[in-house]
Order: sequence, then structure tokens, then C-alpha cells
Amino acid sequence: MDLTQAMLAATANPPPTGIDVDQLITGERRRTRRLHAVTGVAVAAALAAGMVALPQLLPQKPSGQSPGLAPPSTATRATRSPAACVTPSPTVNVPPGGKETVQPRPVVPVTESCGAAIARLSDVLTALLPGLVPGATFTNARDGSPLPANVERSGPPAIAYNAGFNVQNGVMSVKIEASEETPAQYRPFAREQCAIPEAHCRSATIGGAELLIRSSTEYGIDVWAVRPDGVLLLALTRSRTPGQPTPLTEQQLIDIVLDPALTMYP
Amino acid sequence: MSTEQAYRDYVAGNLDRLRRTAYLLCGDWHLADDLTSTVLVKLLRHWKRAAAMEHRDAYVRRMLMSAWLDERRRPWRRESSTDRLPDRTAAAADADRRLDVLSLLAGLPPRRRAVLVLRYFCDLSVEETAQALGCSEGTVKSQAARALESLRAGLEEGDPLWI
Repeated sequence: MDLTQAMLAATANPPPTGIDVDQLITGERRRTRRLHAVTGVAVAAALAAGMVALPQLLPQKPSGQSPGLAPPSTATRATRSPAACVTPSPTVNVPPGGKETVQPRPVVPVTESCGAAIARLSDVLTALLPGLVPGATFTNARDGSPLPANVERSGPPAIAYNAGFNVQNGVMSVKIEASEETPAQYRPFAREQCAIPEAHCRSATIGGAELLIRSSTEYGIDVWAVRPDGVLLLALTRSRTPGQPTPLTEQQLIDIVLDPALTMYP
Repeated sequence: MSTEQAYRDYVAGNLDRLRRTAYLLCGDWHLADDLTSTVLVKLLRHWKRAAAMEHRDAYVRRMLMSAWLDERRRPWRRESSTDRLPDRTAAAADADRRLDVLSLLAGLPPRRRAVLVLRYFCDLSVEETAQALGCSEGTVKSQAARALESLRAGLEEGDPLWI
């Protein structure tokens, strides 16, 4: 007997098999169904997690930009608008009581899209600032790039945009916001603020707008304005060296906050 | 003919051969059934591709060899083979011969055992065996020679299994 015959003899009387083809096919179908179900659930969960996480992650992107980047062109500004337009979550943390949802309630509803508002306000500030302070050079505070102005979505909970600039020996910034108060509603608050003797402030009503102006040689000048068109503006300037004159004057800041082109409602 | 029916027909026609081959590889009918089941499930998953193959049997044989070698690599299967063969009785009964050949095969390393099973049980050529094991023809020849040498060492000249 050779090896082949010995092998055939060794396997001549196999016991009944326990393999059931129907069971194999059924089991494989079940496995495939489960795999599809698990994959579907995993994809849905990943999408849901992505949708939740994305709005929180994207606003961090601009801060990651390294200084000294090339000046953004108009086209660059247009492409950057979506990132600058990410609306921060209206949910704010109120320690220690957990979370509280705050919805913006502007006096006049905002209808303009974020991207359009950023492009428009950038153009307005780019045209306004050099004319306001002749001879001064404005650069964007975030990355040191020259004009055009980099305007970004601000908040929450308010619907607002802001832009900051380096100018001469200091800085200045402008914030444009959909006001939740009318000038009349804002007036008592402004008066109250200026009731404090050391507050270095005064309030005024100019052309229907209620202004709160705070100035000090120590910290600089802030000008708040709630205008009849439903816009709240803040223009402020600081000197880099305490005690030195600020790069913009109080009147120049008042001119900025009263400029009708700086609005949420074009 | 539906895909499923074609699979069923193929399994019905080859199940016995697969089980026997697996049994010679592992020496245990339960484990042989497990190996065969593993191969059949894999075949079912890839049936569309396998059905179009010209050498489907070779493909299935290769899957069986992979399943067997994978099984041997599992941590709980790592047994050390010894050079001492089990005691054999001088009687030449069929049952004893069956035990003998299985004992002799069990004493071989998995790859050499696979070479012998493919060459002498499945009646494959050196080239086909090399393809089934994914190695060169020279390796098959050397493994077969060493395997036969090991078998002869456990036999006496004139033994019915003397090759």
C-alpha cells in the first residue's frame, strides 16, 4: 500500500458531517444584514457628530492663521467669507447652572446673508477709514495685512460683525450689531453709566442716535451708539503706550458710529 | 440557474472531498468540519468572483490551505511536535494503518503535511501544489522530500507504508 492508498483508506469512512449549507447561507445573510445595519448606524452617527462638532471647530480656524500672510485680495476675501461667517452657537454657558439658550431678538430683523454683509462692511470700512484719518496707515489687527478690512462674524448671542486695525501708535476696532434696544430704551442705561463720577463718560443724543462716550488718557476712548435704524455700533481706540494720545480722536469715532453706511440694513 | 443554486450544487459536489482533505491535514473530523465550514463561508462571500473562475477548485484548495495554516498559527494551537512517534502495533489491520498514516502525518510540520496531502491525496502536480501553497516549486520539492524522509524514519523497511 502506498501513501496515496493509505490516505484514501484513512478517510474511507468519514462520520456524518455537521455542515449544513442552508445554515451557512442563512448565517451569512444575517451577518451581511447586521454589517449593513451597523455601517448605516456608524455613518449616521459620524454625520451627526460632524454636524454638531463642525460649528464649534470652524470658528477656531482663523486664529490658526500665521501672521505675515500675503494681503488678501478681493477674491481671497470672498472665498474666506464662509469661514468668517460660521455662526457661533446661540447656546451660552451660564455657570454653575448648566446651559441656557439665548436667542437674538433684534429690534429690526436682519435679512442680509452673512457673506454679503461681510463683503459690504469690508468695502465700507476700507473706503471710510483712510479718509477719516488722512496719512494714517491701517492694517488688519489679526494678521497685520493691509486693507481691505477683514470683517468677521461676531457674537453670540447677538448678530454682529467686527473688525480690528493697527493704526499708527495704537489700535482701533469697530463692532456693528443688530441692536436689541431702541435709542429710547438705551438712554437710561447710558445716563446711569455716566452717573458714576470716575467713569470719565458722557452721553449724548445726535440725530436720533443715543451715544455713550467714555474716554480716559489711561485706557483710550470708547464710543457706543444705538441708532434709530436699529444698529448698535461700538468704535474704540487705544494707544499702545499708556498716557500717549490715541490714534483716533473722539470726534473721529463719533463720525464712524454715525456713518449711515455702517449698518445691518442696507 | 440562480447564484445560490449554483453555490449549493458546487458544495454538494465537493463537500466530501474538502472534508477528507481537511481531515488529512488536521487529523480530527470536528476540526476538519470547522475548516471546511470556514472555507465554504468565505467561498459564499466571494461566490460571484469564484463562479467566474476557470480553476475554481484550485482557488478553494488554496483557501483550505490558508484556513489550515491560519488555524495552526493560533496561539492555542501552538504545539511542539516531538521526534517520538506513538507506539505502533505490528498488526496490519486497516484501522491500524489508518492510525499509522494519521500519526505519521501528525508528526510533520503543517506545511510539509500540506505538501504531502496535496501531492499524494489531491494528486496535484508540483506546480499546482506550489500554487495552492503560495510558494515556489523548489520549495514544494524540498518540503516533499523532507516530509517523506521523516515518514521513512518512522517506518521499517518492508512496512506496507514504505515509499
